[in-house]
Amino acid sequence: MTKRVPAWVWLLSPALLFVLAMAVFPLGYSFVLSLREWKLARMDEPGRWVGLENYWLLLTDDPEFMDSVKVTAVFLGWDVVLTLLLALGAALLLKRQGRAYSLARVLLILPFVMSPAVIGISFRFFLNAEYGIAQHLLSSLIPALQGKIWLSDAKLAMAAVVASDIWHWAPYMTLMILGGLASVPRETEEAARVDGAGPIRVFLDVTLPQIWPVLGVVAILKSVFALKAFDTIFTLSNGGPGTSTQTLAYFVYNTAFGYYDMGYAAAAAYVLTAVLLTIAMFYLRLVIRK
Amino acid sequence: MTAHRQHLPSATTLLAQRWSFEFFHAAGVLLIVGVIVLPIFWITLTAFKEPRDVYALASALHFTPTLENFTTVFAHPWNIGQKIVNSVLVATGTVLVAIPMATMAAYAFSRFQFAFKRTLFLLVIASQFIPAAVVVLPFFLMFKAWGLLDTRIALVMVNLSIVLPYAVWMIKGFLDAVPLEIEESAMVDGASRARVIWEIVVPAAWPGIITAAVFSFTLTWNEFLFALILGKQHALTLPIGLIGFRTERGDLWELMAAGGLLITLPMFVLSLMVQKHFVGSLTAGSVR
Amino acid sequence: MMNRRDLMQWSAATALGLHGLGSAHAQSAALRPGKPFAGQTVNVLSVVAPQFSAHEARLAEFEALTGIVVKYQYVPFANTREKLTAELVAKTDQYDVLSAMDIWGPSLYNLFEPLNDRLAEKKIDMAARYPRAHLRAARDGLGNGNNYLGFPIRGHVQLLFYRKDIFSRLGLNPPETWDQMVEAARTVQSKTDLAGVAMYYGKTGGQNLMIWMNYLWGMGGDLVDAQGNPAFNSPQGIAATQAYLDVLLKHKVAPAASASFNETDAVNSVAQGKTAMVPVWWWRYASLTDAKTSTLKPEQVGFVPLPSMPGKDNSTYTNTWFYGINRNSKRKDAAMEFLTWLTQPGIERDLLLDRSKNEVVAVQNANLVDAAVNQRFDGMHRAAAQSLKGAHGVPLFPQWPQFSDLLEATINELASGQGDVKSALDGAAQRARRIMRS
Repeated sequence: MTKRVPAWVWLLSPALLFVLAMAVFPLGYSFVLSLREWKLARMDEPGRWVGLENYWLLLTDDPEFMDSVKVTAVFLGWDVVLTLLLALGAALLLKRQGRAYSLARVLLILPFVMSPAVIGISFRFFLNAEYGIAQHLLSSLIPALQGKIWLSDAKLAMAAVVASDIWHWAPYMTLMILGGLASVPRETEEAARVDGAGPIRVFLDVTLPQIWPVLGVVAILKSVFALKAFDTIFTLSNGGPGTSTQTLAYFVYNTAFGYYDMGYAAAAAYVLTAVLLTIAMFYLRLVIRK
Repeated sequence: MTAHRQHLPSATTLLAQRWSFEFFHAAGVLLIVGVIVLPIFWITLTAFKEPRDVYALASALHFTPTLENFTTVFAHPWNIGQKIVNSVLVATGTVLVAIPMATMAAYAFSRFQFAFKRTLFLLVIASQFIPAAVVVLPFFLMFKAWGLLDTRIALVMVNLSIVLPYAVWMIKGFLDAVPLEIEESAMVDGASRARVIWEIVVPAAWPGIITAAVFSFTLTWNEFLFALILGKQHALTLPIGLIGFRTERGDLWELMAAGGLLITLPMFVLSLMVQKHFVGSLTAGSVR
Repeated sequence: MMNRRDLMQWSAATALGLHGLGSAHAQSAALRPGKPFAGQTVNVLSVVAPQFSAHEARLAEFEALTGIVVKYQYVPFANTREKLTAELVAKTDQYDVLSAMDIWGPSLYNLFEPLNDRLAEKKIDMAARYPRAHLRAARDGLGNGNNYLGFPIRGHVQLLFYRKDIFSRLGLNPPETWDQMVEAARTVQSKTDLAGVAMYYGKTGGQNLMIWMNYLWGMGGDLVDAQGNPAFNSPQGIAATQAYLDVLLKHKVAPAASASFNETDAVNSVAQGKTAMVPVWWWRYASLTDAKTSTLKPEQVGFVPLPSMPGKDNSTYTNTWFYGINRNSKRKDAAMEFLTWLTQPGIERDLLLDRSKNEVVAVQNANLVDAAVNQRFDGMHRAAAQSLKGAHGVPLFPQWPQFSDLLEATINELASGQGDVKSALDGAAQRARRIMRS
């Protein structure tokens, strides 16, 4: 290979420079901001330097922050696991040829392009205790749910919030997994079937290992967006009942634009970022080997 | 397996097993379709109802339909028509700039070895980990300094910074799956790297590029906070319009449903068109 | 019948282009003659509300008078604060006239231009024009300062709406105290299939605190004491909270869904004929009587001032929006012309008397006691003026948003049946102490 000016310099420059500029700016700015005190109600510009005091207060003296961390962990767990399982199941069901299946696959994009806020509001109306169609249907099908007011029950509110996020994302993830499934050479599966393996065995021994990377991407992508999820939660439950669906993303937004405490919000945002960075580094270590 | 004749179940049992498998398969597909379609169907119904009928179960299916919600959302002060146009322009503009940029960057990350590669890649993705609420004000100050407030250009720039990390990541995954040998042999034969990329690599990674394009379009389409802060009159997008239906009087669900429907239909059509390429992706390419 | 004095005022009003703007008693300030600001554009940050849309429909008049073009730039109601924050931080002049809610006032003082000099020039007497309860929203110094930062434009009082037809059928009198409200609700529930009173304990923008605060103040409690320490967990506070929640929890005269209702849900419950009463802002009258949004007819909807504690005067909690001038604006004079014209008592009065709409919102003293207005709305405005005299306004200390969030979450949790009032309020007071310290 020729060894003049490496081609990658030309290829990479415009994209990388732009991305780094637009990326480093927020990462750097918000970190610097988190080291200062800036209460908008009292000062127009960032105020005195407080070092790590914001972080210290967050981790030791803020029960609301700790609550939101717990809520986020619960939300993240349910959201990612259920999305992955449902998307995988749906992909396996929908990967056949045929007009009907084609049509079903076309539908998969629709929930994804709907505005998350519209989804949140719609689900809230679906679950309204007086006239909500979903709560009406569900309580007639499941007796245990009769008389329950979804958005007044911490567990049901969490279920509603998770369900709305899954409805938004899982169909799209199904499409991604379908793409992965399609690249699994059919011969490998045929071979296993000829050897007498049942469908479950074929899936576990042949298909699954080959789509493992896709599932990894889906898991990471979903984790990132689950940790950033805000619009659906805000419009559906407003963090309630009480603060039982108030996630970290909600906490950051509320601290910034509700309480006008910008420095503190930046610190909370950086804690969230640190969590995401850990997940991302873990994932990248598995993927970038070169 | 030799004497498996003795272990083979009877033909009727096999058939029954086949039928029940097919039955559950079909039921599963119907369930998926139902879960996706039912909420959309309900929102569609709502779009045709008077507010009075929206908030009652009795008139859930029996009501006098009206087109008033649609005329209202296009009229003043909602003016959703202009917002849809802006959304289309901003989203299309963002995708048209983002995809070539992302493909180039992804190619570099995929094919070349250089110092700090992993760190740089991480940095690119990590830029999206900061919640928007914290960085929207500095962006506002930046665009104010450049005189770009309330412009679609500013929105395209902001959305570029949002979607590029994901696009780079997705396309890189698809590029990783394209074998190096084809490129190398083509270059040994004298083709320049640019031609190789254009004629060999891009077509091979096309499904991934389409995936990234759809993803970027959707992220831009639904982006709210930056559009809210940076827009005033000329650069208002659809999410602003939709959230504008949350008024003092409460959430005007019937108007929101009408607006939401206006988006879903074209998206459905777009999806039908893109499906052809997705079918392509179902026979080639993989994500790693 | 015009006497000579009316004739003179009529001709003066015509000369100034103020003809048709209503009663001569009200203060009508003058616009600068000669169109000195012709050609300028004034941008107004506004939200979509029927009142503001009605104002916008009249802008052509203003443009004809002054040559100033006014553009209403609508932002989503839920995100007005974010837009104001951006203006504040970046010191931009995207908007010349800004609208803000009273509770945001203390954090936005640096955004608004003090208007005292301009008001003096226009000879506008704010204290005479507006009730004290609404005016404090537009003053700095946590409501008691010397500077006026804007004109109250949209102000509310609370009323109790009830089903007139059902009450007369059951021989009930509209309640005057909270206990009477519970009694009436109980009767309604036993004799009809409607629920008694639609309460709203759900968590949305502090809405579940708005009736609660009346209970709190009515029983002698308060949110903070003189030293700024949380005081809502005093014995009176606990009793008040218990009484407020008992409407649902103990007496069960509210629909079970009240635990998650927001204000709109509660109003809808009445509008759909499911509940018989709702204590809410007076402007909801339109939602309850408009055929598009309600199944009820105007004859079925009655109202009384908000119930009180026995022996106490009727009071109300108030909510006020004001229009002010952006400190960074380069067109402050033109903006002042606009606000002078817009806040003419006549404009408000015209909207109140417009039979095609059911707008009841009025913030000016002259209109609250106006005969024609009270005739149209059965004395609602006179009753409102009376309630406003003793009204508590919203607490105006800077930590209020956090305080409000905390209280709202506590009430919401209690309403869903979790925990007991005393320990919940004590826990909230502890967290509130942290908030007040910061």
